[in-house]
Amino acid sequence: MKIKGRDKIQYQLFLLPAVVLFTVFVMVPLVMCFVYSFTNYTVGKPLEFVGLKNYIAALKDDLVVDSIGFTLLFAVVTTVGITVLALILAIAFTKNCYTGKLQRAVLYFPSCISLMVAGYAWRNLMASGGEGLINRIIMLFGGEAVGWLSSPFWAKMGIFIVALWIDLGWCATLFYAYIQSIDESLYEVALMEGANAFQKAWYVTIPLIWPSVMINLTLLLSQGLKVYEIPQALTNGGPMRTTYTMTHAILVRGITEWEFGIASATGVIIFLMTAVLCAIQLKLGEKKEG
Amino acid sequence: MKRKKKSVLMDLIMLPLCAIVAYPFIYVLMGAFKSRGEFAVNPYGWPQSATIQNFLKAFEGVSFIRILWNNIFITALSVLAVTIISAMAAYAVVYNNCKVNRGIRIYLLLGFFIPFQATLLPLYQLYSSMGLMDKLYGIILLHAGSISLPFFMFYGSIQGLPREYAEAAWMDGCSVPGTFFRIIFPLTRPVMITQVIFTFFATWNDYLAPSLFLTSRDKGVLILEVTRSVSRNSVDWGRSFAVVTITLILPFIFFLAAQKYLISGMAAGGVKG
Repeated sequence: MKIKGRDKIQYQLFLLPAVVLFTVFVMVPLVMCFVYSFTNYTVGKPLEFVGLKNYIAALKDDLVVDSIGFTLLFAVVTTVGITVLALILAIAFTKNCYTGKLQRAVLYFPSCISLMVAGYAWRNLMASGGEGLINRIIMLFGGEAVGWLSSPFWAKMGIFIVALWIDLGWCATLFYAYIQSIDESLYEVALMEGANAFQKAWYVTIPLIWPSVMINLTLLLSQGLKVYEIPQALTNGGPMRTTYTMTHAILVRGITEWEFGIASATGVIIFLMTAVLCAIQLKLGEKKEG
Repeated sequence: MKRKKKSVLMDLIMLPLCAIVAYPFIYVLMGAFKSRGEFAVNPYGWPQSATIQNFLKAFEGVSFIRILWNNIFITALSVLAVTIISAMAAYAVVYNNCKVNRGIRIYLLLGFFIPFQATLLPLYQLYSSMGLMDKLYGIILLHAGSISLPFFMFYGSIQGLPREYAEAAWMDGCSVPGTFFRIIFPLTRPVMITQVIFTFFATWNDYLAPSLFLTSRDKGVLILEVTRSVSRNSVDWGRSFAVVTITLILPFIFFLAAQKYLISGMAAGGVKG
């Protein structure tokens, strides 16, 4: 059916709000971030191109480098940890029991709340010394109190645990949904071949849902790169800035200290990492469909 | 398919795990009903003398109701704006499928590649210079601009509808907007519900944007109020947890009502809000 000229204008008017808002609030700021990262932006002075100077400065800046390190560590550790545990949990979900629905609901709910709230809820439980609940339990069994939020190592562990608490449930539920779509007869064949439960999971379930798991891996990784709220609420970036994320670095260098060049270069780095992950995700999605 | 036998063993393994996962919520909920004195001596157990003082304290002064209202206002209008704007754009791209619009489709999907962190500093500057600082609609506009995921979802849905519906409407003299609002938009319902749920959680739970762009206290949202009270030297946890409890009520209701859409939507799109 041919579209009349007047209708064409009406269609384009329908597109207008989306295109304008997306351009103003997403695209323009992104381009500005690129521009600032290659110039020496200071208020009241004309922009001057400085090449890669800001990137070199950013990579010499301990705060930025350490925050990139912790962000990458967070993204990799939580992605691997969540995926492995979610696969185990999803296979456990397939065993028929009386409270399956309740279990899935309880485990899913932490992903529906504010990340800040999650951090605050855990903060007291992980208090150092004999005050935190977790330490009390450890000491009850004769262990030694752990400096959860006060030692750099345990603060990181604490953050990983909270991230796991948030994401494990929805991830497992998603994998469970994929497992449900596997053809039952494949398991019957496996059973006839004399496969045990572990072999069924390893040779049937996991290979069949692997493409979806891979897409989820890239999703978790790019979500991990944006981490900010959990450390902010739990440790406030401490102790001694060891749990600063890339977002912290952008906020401190950019908004607190007004170092736009370094902060923008950090912004471009986080954008490039996210974009590469999204491209991989797209490729995997195509392969799965094709 | 034959029903498998139910085993109690799995219940016995999983229920303690569920209890551990649920405990932080129970802890917050119990804390909200404890007085300051009781919280100091009995932070983790069942409240001995439950009190609703914390909730009354939280609601003291006009500003709290105002802040709660800000939260609801931002979320409701953001969800509404995102839904209509992205559905309209998807409709135009599907039904006027010219070269330009195919380009626009890819342009709008580029948002998937762009983390908020990369745009945050220039946005901060734009907001200061455009007078959007400390304005509720500033946050709503920001959400209304992040439409890549809902646009993608609506595009898939409208693309999948038979063309005959729209063509019949045109035959009967229905206009372009009329066809959208009367025929196409209502037909996207399943996707619309999933999208509304995702956008609801994303906007209600958002912290970073409000913490940057809503600077004065009575323009803030609930989670900023919690942050403020927690960063004081002596924290009144009972009151803070009362506020946290209030922020949890709506997500909990949404979660109960929408569980099956959440999961089916995620499985279909391979995405999470």
